[in-house]
Amino acid sequence: MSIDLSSQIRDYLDEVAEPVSADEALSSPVRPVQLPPRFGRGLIVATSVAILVLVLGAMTLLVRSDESPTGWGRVVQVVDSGSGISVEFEVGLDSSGQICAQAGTASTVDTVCGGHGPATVGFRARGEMVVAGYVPSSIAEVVVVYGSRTRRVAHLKPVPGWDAYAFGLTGISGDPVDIEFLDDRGTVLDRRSVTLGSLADALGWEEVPVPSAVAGAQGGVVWTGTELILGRGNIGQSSHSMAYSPASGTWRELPDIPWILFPPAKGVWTGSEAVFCCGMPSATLLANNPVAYDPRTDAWRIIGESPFVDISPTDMAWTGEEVIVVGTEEIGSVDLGTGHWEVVMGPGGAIDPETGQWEYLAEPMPLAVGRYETVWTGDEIVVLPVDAYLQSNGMAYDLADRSWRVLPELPGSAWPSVAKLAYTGTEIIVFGLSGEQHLIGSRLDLDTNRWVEMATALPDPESCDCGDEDGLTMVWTGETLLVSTGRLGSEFKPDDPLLLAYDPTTDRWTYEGVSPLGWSEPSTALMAGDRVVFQTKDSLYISPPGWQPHGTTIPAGGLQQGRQP
Amino acid sequence: MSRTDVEQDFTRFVRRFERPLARALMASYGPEVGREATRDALAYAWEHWDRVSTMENPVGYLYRVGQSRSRSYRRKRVLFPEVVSGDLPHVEPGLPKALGLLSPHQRTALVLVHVDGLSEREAAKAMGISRLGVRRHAERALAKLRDELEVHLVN
Repeated sequence: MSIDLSSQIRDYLDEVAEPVSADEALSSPVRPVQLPPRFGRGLIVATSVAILVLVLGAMTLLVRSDESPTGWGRVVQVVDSGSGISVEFEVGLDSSGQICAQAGTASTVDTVCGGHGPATVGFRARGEMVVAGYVPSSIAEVVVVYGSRTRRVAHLKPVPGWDAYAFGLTGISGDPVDIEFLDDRGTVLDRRSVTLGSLADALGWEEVPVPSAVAGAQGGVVWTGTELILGRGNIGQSSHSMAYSPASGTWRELPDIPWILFPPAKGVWTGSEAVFCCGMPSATLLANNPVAYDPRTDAWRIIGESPFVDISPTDMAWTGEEVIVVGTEEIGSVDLGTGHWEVVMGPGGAIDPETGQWEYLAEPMPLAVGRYETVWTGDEIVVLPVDAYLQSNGMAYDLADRSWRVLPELPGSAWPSVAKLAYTGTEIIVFGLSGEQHLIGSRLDLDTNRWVEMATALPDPESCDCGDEDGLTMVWTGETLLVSTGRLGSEFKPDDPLLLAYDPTTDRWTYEGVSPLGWSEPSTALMAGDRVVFQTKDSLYISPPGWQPHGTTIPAGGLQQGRQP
Repeated sequence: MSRTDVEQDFTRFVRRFERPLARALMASYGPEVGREATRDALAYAWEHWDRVSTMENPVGYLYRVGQSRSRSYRRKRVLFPEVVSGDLPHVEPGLPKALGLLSPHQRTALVLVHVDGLSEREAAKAMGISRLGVRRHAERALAKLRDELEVHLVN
């Protein structure tokens, strides 16, 4: 049967809510549009941080108690499959009757104790958030209300010698979780709330809330060598900037940006200035002028007038002489029946920041592409279609010759429909989600011009809704490709995003834990010296200096997905 | 121009744009919250009439305003009421449930582009995501609805 869906949705939505009349709008009080005043947001953040510090402080007192738990003779071992990596932990009582849990590897064991009776315990091990505890046998079911979206039932395992069951759950997010204890008729007998702290904390990373002046907006982030410069803007608002020093842990307020940046804006460091550009929709009738911030003078300037009417940059790069803005102005049409696009586009533009002169970059691409990602290698702009509908080869634009070359066909049958690119110094890595919802990747050796398929990381994320807007983020650290997968699972059966690391020299993946980004979206990543930085609208997540992967090697064939017990 | 003239302009504006705006906000937040957000967005439009009246894409802009306003109303779960038998005989009975199974981004992209007729770029600016993201969300929404309703889509 065929139906006209658009008209059905329109008629349905028009039916279910009475129209708002002009009189009603005219008589309606106008409330402040911004939430809300920024001081309020800051207060909320500050309060949250204070509570977090108190909770973590209390947990620190509990964790690593010198007193060995004495109830371990009655310990049960609970294994939760989590994200495929089993985190084994044990539940028991210490000498004072507190419930304790311990878990770890052969070399490190973390123990946490807290609460009496049928309590729950917050616990962190190897990047995993664990809730553990025991319940009397009158309890038939333990349910975690998880991330305010779904419910997850815990395994209950009988405890030898106790009239009780033990349970454990891994992969709990850093948000507070409610745990409900139900009898066999489904009646909730008890409810506990557990706050475990941030996911970043579990990994040993810093979570740095973004100040209210730039929080909630999107834009570029640039590393100057000492500071992270955030240039952000949003529709209907002016653009603001702040600088953060990871070494001192302090923010510095910068002068307001003299032009407007829109969310797709990106940035690049030229060695003396942080240049941000673009994202301006044509409807604003404003040019996509790039702006530059000089930390020595603490001043912004507008660099020349951009020829781009409407550009959403996919990448910016500094060649040593020019800033490259890779993006597109496009003329296109889509066949709604087949989903196929015909797009004609130019590769972007280059600007000399000294003279402010812009130049269009040569000819259109040799092949039609739909959705695409780009990366700059120092010589070429590599453009790779990531479009399951329009599967063109990749292309590379040589800036010196102002010419295109077509890359060889991607290997394998699967095609990335959502993906990111990285440049390792010798290879291009493309990693993302295939049209069949599998996470796949390939590497292109630029010397041999040959693609190699990468080992599988996650063979079967169920109905994965992850993607560029949903947090798929990656960065080349110098030795490793670090990937935050974006949320896995579907809207109603969500799984946490995972932090995975890939070593191209061994073609091996490691599982580093639950991503510190949680369900934040969208996000970008960059290296700030030897620290990894993930940026979201509201936070920066910063690794310790010299961060190296140290997770569990993922076996051939990949992690087995499925968090449902 | 007298206030009466301006009010008449605003009334015409509401007649023209209230429905597409309301549909987009209802798609994001459900009928109840969506209507509240629509009323607030239109009240904001009146308060800033000099600016809003000249916009090329007021639906996209006011959607963002409504999005901001809706924060205080939002519910954890968006519910779409069932169709009362006989009221909309041509509407698939399973449509409300199927809409509820989509993510808010998917519903919003679908409605802005395929129901309200915004371009992907306009929808992207309104939603604060990329144009490609709008396309992807709309594609997935259509695919899910197709599967859920077990029908072929004319559009």
